[in-house]
Amino acid sequence: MTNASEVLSSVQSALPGAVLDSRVESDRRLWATIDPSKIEEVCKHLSDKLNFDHYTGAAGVDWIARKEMEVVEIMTSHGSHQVVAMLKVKTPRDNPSVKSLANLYWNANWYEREIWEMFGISFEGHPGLYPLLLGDELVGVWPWRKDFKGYPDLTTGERAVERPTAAGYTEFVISPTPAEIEAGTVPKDRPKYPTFREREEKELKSDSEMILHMGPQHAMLPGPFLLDILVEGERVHRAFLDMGYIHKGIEKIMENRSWLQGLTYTDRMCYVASLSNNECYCGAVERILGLEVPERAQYIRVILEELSRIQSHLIGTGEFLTLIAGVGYAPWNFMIIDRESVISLIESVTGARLTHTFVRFGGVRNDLPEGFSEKCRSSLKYIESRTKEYIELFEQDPIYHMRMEDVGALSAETAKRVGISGPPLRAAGVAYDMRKEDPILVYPELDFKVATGKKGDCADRVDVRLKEMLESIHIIDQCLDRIPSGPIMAETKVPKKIPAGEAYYRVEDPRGEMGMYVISDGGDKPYRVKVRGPVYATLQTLPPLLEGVYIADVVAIAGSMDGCPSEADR
Amino acid sequence: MLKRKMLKNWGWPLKVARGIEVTRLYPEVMMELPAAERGIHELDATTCIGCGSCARICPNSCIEMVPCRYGNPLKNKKMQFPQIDYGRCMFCGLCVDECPAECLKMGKKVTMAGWERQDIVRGPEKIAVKKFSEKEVAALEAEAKRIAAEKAAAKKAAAKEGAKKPGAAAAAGGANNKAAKKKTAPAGEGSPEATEKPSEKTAEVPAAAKEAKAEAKTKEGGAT
Amino acid sequence: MDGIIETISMFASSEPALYYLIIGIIGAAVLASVINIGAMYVVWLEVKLLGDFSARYGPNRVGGRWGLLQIVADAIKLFTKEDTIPEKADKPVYVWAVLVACIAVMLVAAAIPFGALYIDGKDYPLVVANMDISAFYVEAALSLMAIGTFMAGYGSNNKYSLLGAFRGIARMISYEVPMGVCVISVAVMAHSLNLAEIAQNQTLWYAFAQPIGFAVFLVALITDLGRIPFDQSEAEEELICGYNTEYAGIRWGLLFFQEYNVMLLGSFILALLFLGGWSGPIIPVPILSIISPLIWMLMKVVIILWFLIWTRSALLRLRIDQVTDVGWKVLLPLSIVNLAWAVAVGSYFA
Repeated sequence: MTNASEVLSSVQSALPGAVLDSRVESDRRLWATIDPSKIEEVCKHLSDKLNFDHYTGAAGVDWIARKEMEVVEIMTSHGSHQVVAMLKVKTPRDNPSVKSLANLYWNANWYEREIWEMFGISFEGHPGLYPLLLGDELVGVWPWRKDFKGYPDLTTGERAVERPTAAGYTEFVISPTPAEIEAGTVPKDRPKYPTFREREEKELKSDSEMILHMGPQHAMLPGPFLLDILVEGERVHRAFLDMGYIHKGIEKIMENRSWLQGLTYTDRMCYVASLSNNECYCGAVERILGLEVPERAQYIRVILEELSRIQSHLIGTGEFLTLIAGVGYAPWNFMIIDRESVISLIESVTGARLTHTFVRFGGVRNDLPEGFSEKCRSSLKYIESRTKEYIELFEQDPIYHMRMEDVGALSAETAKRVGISGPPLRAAGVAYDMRKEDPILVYPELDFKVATGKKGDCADRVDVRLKEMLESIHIIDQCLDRIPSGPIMAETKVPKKIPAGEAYYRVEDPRGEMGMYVISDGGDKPYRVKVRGPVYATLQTLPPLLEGVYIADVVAIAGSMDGCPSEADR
Repeated sequence: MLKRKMLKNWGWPLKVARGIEVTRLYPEVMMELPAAERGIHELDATTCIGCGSCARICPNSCIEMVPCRYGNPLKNKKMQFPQIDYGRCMFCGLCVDECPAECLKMGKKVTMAGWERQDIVRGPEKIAVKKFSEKEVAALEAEAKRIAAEKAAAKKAAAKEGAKKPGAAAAAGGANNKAAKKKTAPAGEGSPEATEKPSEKTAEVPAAAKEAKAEAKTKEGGAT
Repeated sequence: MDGIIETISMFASSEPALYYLIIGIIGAAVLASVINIGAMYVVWLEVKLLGDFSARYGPNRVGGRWGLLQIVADAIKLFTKEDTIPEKADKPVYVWAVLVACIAVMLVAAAIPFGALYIDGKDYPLVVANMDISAFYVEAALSLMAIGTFMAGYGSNNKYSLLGAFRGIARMISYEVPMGVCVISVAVMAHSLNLAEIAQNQTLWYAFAQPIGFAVFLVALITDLGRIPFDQSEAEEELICGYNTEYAGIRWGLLFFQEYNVMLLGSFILALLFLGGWSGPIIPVPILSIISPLIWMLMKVVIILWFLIWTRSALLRLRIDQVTDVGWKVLLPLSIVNLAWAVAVGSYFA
């Protein structure tokens, strides 16, 4: 098995002078600063020779004190080894520009677009640097830079002025006040590129094609994102996807809240599975502090995270079934009834049904109440029998097979290349689960299998989720047997100012691989928090997957990916 | 093809129909909430020390410390208590975790309504479940005043004693000033004690009686 | 009483045209109100049953514990909503679509016998227009409803409605043919196209005599009604509301309501063609004996409605190309086989 120091020595010997600075944090984490001109060769070496075939993400950091900006590329592997390489590329702050990796790795496209629109770092060689999360009129303000002074308040209704456009529609425009222009917070000239609609309409080739809007407001979507499909009759020729409708700027907000206050914001990224988000954040901070979590707290965390996974899969699958079956569909109601018992269990421990704010630095907030073990086991036995019934039901349903078999199939190679993770990747046959790849808490001591599918189509994705629920029930059973008594918080008090350092922590969110990159500069607020969410890659994959299918299949595919746009947009 | 295998599908609605309806009969029957539920806050005004940690930690700045009559002036010097704006509160519970006196808790009440935004800003009178009555507050205030008066008197006496001694020491020389001051300080402490003791003794008995009465009253208040 | 009858018969003989016109208008009004109130209770049945299948109560506050007046409340709400017409919609088509749908339904209802009264050993069918070809007429008139929905989808100037309209037409075309062939096979066995006579001639119910035809007709009926598993033209999740996306207020209410009207009428047709209509033992109680065929008919209709709603809750929705596949590749061959069976065997059922 490769480990981080072997990777480092291999890169240093193959490309001398490329690695300017390095730090081996552990067997599985390698931090290296790379010469900006050699980043492409380093990445090629990593992916060709050392099996780093998963480009996980990229983060931009603004080191205003050092007058430079940094792009951190995160490379991992799909199961060949467990090393995570964090490659930093520095660029001067006056004219930041970095070589783009979008031609090497298909899924680097969106990460680089986001860094460009938020920090102003331009990527040479990128196929199309258009804004992703921000609206067209906000490009040029570079909001996540440290010296950003704020933007005109776009929510003021009285300032909106109606204006007819050339196409005959009316649009509402808010002009900045003279004070805002003087303060320098309004970009004077926008870079010249076509807007989203203009880019879409360029693709219309004939009169029989039309652009159908499935979003941002649509009955099918679990959250707002713009999905426009270019249809001819009932066949989809191309799909366009735009995000950012629920962008709350959580990463920037967290730079202005103390460490403990920031925890409440992680809850609200993916609110259906907020415990995994909490865990990711607290785990990263605990890595920076070097804090050991007591064993009972670890077991409680694992139990609650698996319960959260069960209820997230129940609602994800159930909601998806209403998309293809109408609201009166009976098994959907049963799934919600089951979910209710799981949510009540979680509520009895954390006190809230949805946004838990439960995991704390060094432990958990509350202990398990009395009688939790018995209630949990009886509920889980019931859910287990019902989940097996669901699996059987979908196995024998011919209409289900007609709708879901061979629809939206992703081969293992494509799935690995586009960077998705979680149930869609596992349905394609790749057994990649963070609980085995990057084990945290007590997962190494527990015995569970990773559920995989065969063809990667919609039916397999639903199947993988249901099987994962059964595995989670098995994990919770083991935890309830083994949980020791003891303290639920670490003894050393967490200081108000976390010492300087950085950490990258990964968890298995119900939707895939979630990672948080936290940088502390010794203050009482985080310096930078970057969230690598699983749904980001899922949404990026959606447009090419939707080419050539029927409109009804668009619903089946987009729904079976179980995306939560709130997490992608942060 | 379509017809043979689908009997299981038709069985599901019947299965659900056989079970009991799960609709919650709100508002006639309210939900059973667990003990750990994070609902509307419950403040124990008798133990709140007015430190403001809850206001500082709140991520949404919902908590403001406002003056209120019903607390303990001995513990809460500025007599300030949390006022929570429930229009902004997200029930995260960080204020409860930060409270050093463990007087702010979250209860099981989860419903609240008002006609305007001001109606759901709840001050300490509304969220306090334990507070002192007027008489008890008056008694505690009197107690506080008495202690403050005693302290002021003690300070005055110490200043007077200190004023007498430094007069002689200054004549002795500046170099001995510090030593003299040091001497006078313990001397000052000693003499006010000496002077205070008789006054304390005379004051103590009625004070003790008052204290006993006040305590009995608070005990009653707590019991009711 | 006698005086009134005398004046009426005098009026009838003196001005026959006017008399028949007035009788026609009164009859149409009675028919329309009876059908529409019946359809309102079909809506009530659906909402309550779907609630049952979802472990909920359904309406239980308006009109007593069973929520019987909930639909009336909904209708009042729809009447009081704002009437918006999209700016670029084709106004005549948009407005007339609703009326065409309603008229189509009433045209169908005119020819269906709703039961019978058993007076002195003879059945008197309750029908407004007792035509000799009513089975065929009814099946043709049902397809007028599809024209109404197509007009609605086309006239709305909306991409979703357009797709819904096209899907509706595709559905209608693929399923009218098997349905028509099934009706013909029933007529072959019954030696008549008159719905009342078909119902009366069923010594053995045709559901057992032509099982394939029954199954084919049932599936085709579900498709024609636009119920799940065949409701692509109003698939909520893909097309918002399909052909009635741009309708608001009572226009939407009427358009949507016709689906339930047709459901009721379709159930009557199914009961008449395949389940023996109003046949059943006569209840010996004096008043009930007169209306007992009516009671049997209504019981059969309720059972069919219950089955339709049960299917809605149980099955997934098919894709439109799969719907047309099933129609042309499965149902049409089966219905032709059924026709051959009916011709071969029909002479034994005199």
